[in-house]
Amino acid sequence: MPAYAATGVVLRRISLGETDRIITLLTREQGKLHAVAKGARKPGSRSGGATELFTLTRFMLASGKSLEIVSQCEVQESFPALRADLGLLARATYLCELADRLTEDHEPSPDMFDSLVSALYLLRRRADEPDMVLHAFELQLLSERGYAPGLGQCVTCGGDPGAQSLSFSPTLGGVLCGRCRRPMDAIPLPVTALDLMRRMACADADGIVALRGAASDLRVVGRCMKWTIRYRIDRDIKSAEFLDSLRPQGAGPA
Amino acid sequence: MLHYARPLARLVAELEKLPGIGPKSAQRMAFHFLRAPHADAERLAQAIMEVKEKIVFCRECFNFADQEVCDVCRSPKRDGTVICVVAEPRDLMAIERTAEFQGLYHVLQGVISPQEGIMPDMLKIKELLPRIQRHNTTEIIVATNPTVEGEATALYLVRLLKPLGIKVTRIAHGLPAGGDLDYADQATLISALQWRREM
Repeated sequence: MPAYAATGVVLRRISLGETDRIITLLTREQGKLHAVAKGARKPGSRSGGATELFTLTRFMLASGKSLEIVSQCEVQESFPALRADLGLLARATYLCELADRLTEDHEPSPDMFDSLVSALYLLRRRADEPDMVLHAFELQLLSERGYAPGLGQCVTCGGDPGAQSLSFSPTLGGVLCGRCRRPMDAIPLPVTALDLMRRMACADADGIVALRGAASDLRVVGRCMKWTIRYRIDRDIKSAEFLDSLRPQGAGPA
Repeated sequence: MLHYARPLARLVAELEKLPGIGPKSAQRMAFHFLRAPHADAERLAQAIMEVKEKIVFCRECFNFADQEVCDVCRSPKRDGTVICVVAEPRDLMAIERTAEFQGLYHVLQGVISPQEGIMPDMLKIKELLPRIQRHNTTEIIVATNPTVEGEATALYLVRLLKPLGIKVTRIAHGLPAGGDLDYADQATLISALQWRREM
C-alpha cells in the first residue's frame, strides 16, 4: 500500500529499542492505528515532539507487516497549555487513555476523533472547571460507543423519573426513579445533577464552555461516570488514579 | 537442529537478551569472544560480576554507587543548596559530563506515568524532602525530559515544593545546538520563544 496521509491524536506511546517509538493514534478516517516512529527518541528528532502524548499531528504513514510506519509528520497542535498545568495534563492523559480503551483498531470513528480533539481544546478554555469538559466527553464517548446512559426515563420502569429520591445505576445504565431505586449499586442522584448530565450529554463545544453547575453535582456526575466506565470496559483506567490523587480530599469521584 | 556447539549456543542466547542485540549481532559478538584472548573474556566476565555484586544505590541521592554514599554526595566541593532532580542515573551522568553543575543530585528512579500506573509514591520523591532540610537547599532544578511524563513529574514537584518556600526551576527547552529552525516542531519553537533570554 502506498504512503497515505492521516491526521491523528497520539493516545499512547511506548519505547521500542534504543531510539524508536510505537505510537497509538486516533485518526479521523482510519480510526485507531499503531505505528512505528523510527528515531523518534533521538535528540533533535523531528518526530519526537510530533509523537508526544495528546499531540495532534499530520502523519504520512506506510503500511508495514503488523504496524504502520511513520515516514513524515508535522505537528498541527501540541496543546502547550495542557502541558503547563498538572491538572489539565492529567485530564488530557486520561482522555487519551479512555479513547484508547473505548475504540477498536482500524474502525473509523470520526465523531470520537472530533469529540477528543474538541475536548483537548476545551480543557484549556474551561481551565476554571475542567471536569465539565471531562465528564461531557465521557458521556459523549459512551454515547458514540452505544453505551449512552439512560437519562430521560427510569431505566427499570420506563416512567418519568420525577425529581425525588433519584439514583443512578451504573450496571443498569441510567437513572432510576424513587420507586425503582436499588440500594445495592445505585448512586444517589440529586435532580440538579441529573439536569447537569442531560445538558452535558447534548452540549456542543460552545455549550460545554457555557455549562455551569454546582461543584457537588459535578462530583456526583463524576462518580456516575467513573463506575459506568468501569462497568462497561471491565477494567480500570490507570490515569484516573493519578487524576483522583490530585483532587483535594473528598473532591473526587469516590 | 543445533547449529552451534552447546556452550557457544548458550553464549549467543545470553547475548541476544541484551538491549538492541539481535541474533546476528549476538553471533558476531560470540565469535569475537571465541577469537579474543582468554584474558579479555575473563576481564569482561569479571566486570559484569563486579557490577552485579558491588553496585548499589547511593542512600543519599539514589545514583549508582560502589559505596553506601556515591562520590558526588561525598565530595566536600559540592554545593548542597542546589539539588538537581533527574529521572535516571544516566541523566545524572549526562549532566556530570558537562562539568557545569556543582550542586548535588537526586535521582527519582523514574517519572510519573499515569497511563502506566506509575504514581508519585513509587518514585524517590519523599526521600528528597529530608535532604532539602539537611542541606538547607534553596533551589531545586528539575531536569526531567521534556515529555508529558517528564512535565507531569516537574509540575508535581512544583506543587509539592513551592509551598515550602523553595525555588523550583526547570531546565530550558528549545532548539538543540546545531539545530535547524525550519525543522523544529511547534512545541519546540514555542518553548524556545518562551524560554528566550536577553543578550
